[in-house]
Amino acid sequence: MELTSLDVRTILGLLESGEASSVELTRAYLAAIERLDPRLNAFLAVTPERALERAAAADVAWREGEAGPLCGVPVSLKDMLLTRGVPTTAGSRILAGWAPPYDATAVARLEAAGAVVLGKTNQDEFGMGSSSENSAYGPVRHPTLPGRVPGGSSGGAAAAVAAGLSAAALGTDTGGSVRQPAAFTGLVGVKPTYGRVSRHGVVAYGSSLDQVGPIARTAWDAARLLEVIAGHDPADSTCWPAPPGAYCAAVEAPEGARGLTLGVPREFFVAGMEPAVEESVRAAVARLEEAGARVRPIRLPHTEYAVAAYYLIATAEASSNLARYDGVRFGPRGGDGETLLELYQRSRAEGFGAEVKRRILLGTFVLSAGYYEAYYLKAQKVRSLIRRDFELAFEEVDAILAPTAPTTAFRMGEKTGDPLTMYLADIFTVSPSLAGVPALSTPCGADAEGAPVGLQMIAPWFEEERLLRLAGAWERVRDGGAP
Amino acid sequence: MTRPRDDTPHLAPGQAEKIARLARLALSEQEAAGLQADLERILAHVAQLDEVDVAGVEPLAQPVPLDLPLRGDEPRPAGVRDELLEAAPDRERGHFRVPRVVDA
Amino acid sequence: MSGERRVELLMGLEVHVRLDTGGKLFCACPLPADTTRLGPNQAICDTCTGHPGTMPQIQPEGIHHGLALALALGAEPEDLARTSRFERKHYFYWDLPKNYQVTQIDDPLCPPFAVRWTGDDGESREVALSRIHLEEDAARKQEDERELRVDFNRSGAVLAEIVTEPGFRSPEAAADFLRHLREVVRWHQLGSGQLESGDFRCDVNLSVRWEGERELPKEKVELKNLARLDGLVRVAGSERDRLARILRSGGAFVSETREWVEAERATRSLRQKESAADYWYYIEPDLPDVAVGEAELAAAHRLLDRPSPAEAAAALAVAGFAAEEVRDTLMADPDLGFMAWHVAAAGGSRESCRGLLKLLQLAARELDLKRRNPDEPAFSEASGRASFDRFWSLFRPNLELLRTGLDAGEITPQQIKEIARQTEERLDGLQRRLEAADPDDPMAAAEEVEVAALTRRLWSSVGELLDLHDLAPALEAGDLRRQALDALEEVLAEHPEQRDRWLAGGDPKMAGFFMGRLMGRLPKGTDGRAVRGILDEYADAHRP
Repeated sequence: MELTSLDVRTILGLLESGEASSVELTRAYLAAIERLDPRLNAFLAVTPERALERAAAADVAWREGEAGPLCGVPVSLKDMLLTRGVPTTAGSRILAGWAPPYDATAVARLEAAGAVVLGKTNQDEFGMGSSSENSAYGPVRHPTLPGRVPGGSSGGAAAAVAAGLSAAALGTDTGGSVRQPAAFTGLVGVKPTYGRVSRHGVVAYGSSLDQVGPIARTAWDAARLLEVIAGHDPADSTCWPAPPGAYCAAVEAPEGARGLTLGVPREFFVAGMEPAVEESVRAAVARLEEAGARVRPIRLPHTEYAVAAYYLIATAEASSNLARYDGVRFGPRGGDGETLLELYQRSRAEGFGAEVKRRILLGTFVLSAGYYEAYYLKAQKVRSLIRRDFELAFEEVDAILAPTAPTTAFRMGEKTGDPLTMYLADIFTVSPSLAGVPALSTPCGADAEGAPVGLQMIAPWFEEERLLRLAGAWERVRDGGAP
Repeated sequence: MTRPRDDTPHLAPGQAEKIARLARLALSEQEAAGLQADLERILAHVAQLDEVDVAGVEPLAQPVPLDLPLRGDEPRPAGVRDELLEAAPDRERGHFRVPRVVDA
Repeated sequence: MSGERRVELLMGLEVHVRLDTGGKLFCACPLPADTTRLGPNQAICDTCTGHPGTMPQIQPEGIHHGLALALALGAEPEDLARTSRFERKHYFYWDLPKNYQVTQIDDPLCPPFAVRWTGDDGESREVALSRIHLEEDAARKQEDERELRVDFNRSGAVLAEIVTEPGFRSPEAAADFLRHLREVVRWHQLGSGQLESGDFRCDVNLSVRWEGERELPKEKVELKNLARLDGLVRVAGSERDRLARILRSGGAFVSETREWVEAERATRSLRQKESAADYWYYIEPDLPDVAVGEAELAAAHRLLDRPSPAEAAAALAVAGFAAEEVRDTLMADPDLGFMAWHVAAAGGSRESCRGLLKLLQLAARELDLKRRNPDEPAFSEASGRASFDRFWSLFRPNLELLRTGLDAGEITPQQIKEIARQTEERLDGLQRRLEAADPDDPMAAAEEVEVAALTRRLWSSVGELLDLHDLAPALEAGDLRRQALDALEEVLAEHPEQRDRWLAGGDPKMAGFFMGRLMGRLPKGTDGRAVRGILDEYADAHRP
């Protein structure tokens, strides 16, 4: 039995029955990291001693009948999530050497549930990228497809889970950063409703878009992580004051897809998308229909404007959120500036990578006097229309099915030369982010070279239970079990 | 589809450097030229938003409405002063140190 | 036929007041009333130093204090019951940990309203406020020639910015408003109003035009940091004259920030006033809108637990204090003024009021020393309001006893004076030593410890005095009388017909009627004979 290829649910079963210990599991994952990560570059920090200590405590908890819902499960955390005393860089040189003074709420909840944190995963710097090539610490490599990207920005998280370097992972999703890498690596990735999971202790990129979400092998695994991290947190005033739903139970809901009306938006099947993606997604839609769902075409007419609106809003927010990185209170200080201005300029010039600078410039520009209305305010109005599209669609359907990305994992270097091409790769994930609705990606096939295709499922605000019910139903249909 | 428009706002020459100053980013000449070109391309793309009729549409800042009641914390010391000072690249006698001169 | 046209001054103020809520605006860091006594970076956390991942959380006390200030200045509650929001104002500077300041731009806490007050000259005055908004304070520094050391204690402290329209036509009128504003802030204990610690700061903008013109001049000059009233009058006056000369000579002036140069007795240009373009703005996405409803307004009203300064001053005048004494001594120290008002409002003879005044002054000094004493953390670390409330709850019973004793002639003013004299000597000595002491000297801490011992002696002297005269029962009698009369007023109001019959006399049942109802409202075990005595006394006094 290869311990590092098991899903969370199986692991919990082994731990409960005593067939495996958390220490044993943790050692296996740490060994896999040591063996494989020099090639994958999925981890920025590994904390073996701390992990083994917590694993030993988890084994005691299981024996004493005090196991939490993730007791003893080895997980990894995207480096956007703050970990007290453990270096947190967000993939940026500007945070090199910084050890946060506190834990993110999601991290604290994961650990309180007994999860064993193995380390911090690599990512596009500050979440800005779709390929995990924009890390100050080198690109993440795809675990099974040489020369391809694992997606981004949570590429390290996805690669770690897909390669068996952690049983599950937390990522962050601003415009698709959990869903798209999950799609590229054949995993399940969930972006919860905006406000479902606390952002406290998450390095901010686009504050009105950012959400923490799980990346895992199965819908059940993702559901279990979401149950643990979701729910009200007074430290985040935008966090919804409602308890999380019963997501694992929803995955196993016996009615499956029966009785659900599913919408397929015309705008998500565009010229230029990879044929294998369209075929796999359409085939998945057909099989869900056979399994008892009603399927109907819908319109989300403002989809084509989503990328433009997204990049204006996200970069504006980023330019504000990233102003604090100035070499005064944390992180390295650039050069030997004689003046305060030089200190700022050098610290930021040396600390930020090219894509981050590009987005800060764009964001500063669209917020600056004279351009605010033409760009930023306009983008916010288009955002209203995009949200309205979803409101109208959800009057007719219970959930929406669409591709997660227009292509499978693309080649390293393929899009790094042209930022706009990279931005357009996010075309299908940004509109749910703008609308704030929950969405997930689940594997639904592969192209001729074996590159996985992601099926995106989108539900109305705070309907994660419905979303996961559908995802569970799809897994059973896909894997040939009962629908 | 994106189509070139006469009224597409263009960046004035050197605009990238001006914004960079505002955002406190020192750019090499080469960087500035490259970013100027990138910004122009991106802005040309986002100009497609001009096609959208937004008359009477309210801007949306937050995707989920928030009308939470105010609730605060009992004031209590965070107890992380030493950690915070420790994190600073340059500190002196319990202070964070910066150059005295703002701009030459 | 003189053709000389007159030049009119247009002057507005932007006043920053630190609201003393006991904490900060967006994090849980406690902040004492006097921040100058904190060591560097003692009141900081990850949020107010702008660490990654931190999120602001509005502390309701800040909102309540801001609303209370608006109400105390005369805003209508219905104008305040609205939604306001926070935004980020970006500029890079060492005093902003996030390189933006969370403030209110488009939707301030308080919309425009007019402030009316009585000027120093007794005239009634008015100015239009364009807004009051809340924002986070910035960090402070220590510097020498080489370097600048940043202290984030003040970062995130609660600031209210009070912005007036350019409605002042003379520097004196502006200074009078500033005096009024500071009095309101201090009197209601919404902030220390201290100039030295930056708890009360004022920027001035001014411009001139020909009298009779209606349009606002496009250009205006800004003068920073003029919270001192004499400085404000002198500097703004000089600047008005300079602008008037330019206008008369047919020249034009530009918008700029200027500073006063004492040696030249004139202002000098500091920099061209930044255009708004040098800042950039963005909504604060981490905070919900601030909705002000009944709960928030009620909390604000609870902070205003005393009459306005004008009403208090009037009550003190009625109690026999001279106008100068009220203004320069009593009202100048809000703690003292409040205590004096309390004594005056509770009645009692002028002699007892005056006898107690000396003790009140000592009490105000005692409170100040307690706040400076690290061995009294309950006082030294609390906000000004909290430490006063604590002090007043300890002090008030003694004061009541003394007043009763004085009124009854059981305590002589000489006895009070003797206690006051001895206490004052000790306080003087201690204060001298405290002020001379080196804060790093271990002996200084020991000196401060003495504060507690010393002030305890004051109250033990008072206690001995009270014991000597066995005044506690007298207080109880006084209390019973007050309670019984209050209850009687209620009962009489509820039964006007019976009241008239009882007071007309001749219906003996009526006294019993009221006696029964009165006893029903007084605590169990109240002495019925004493109540009957009070009832009869009342009837005698009110018989037609």
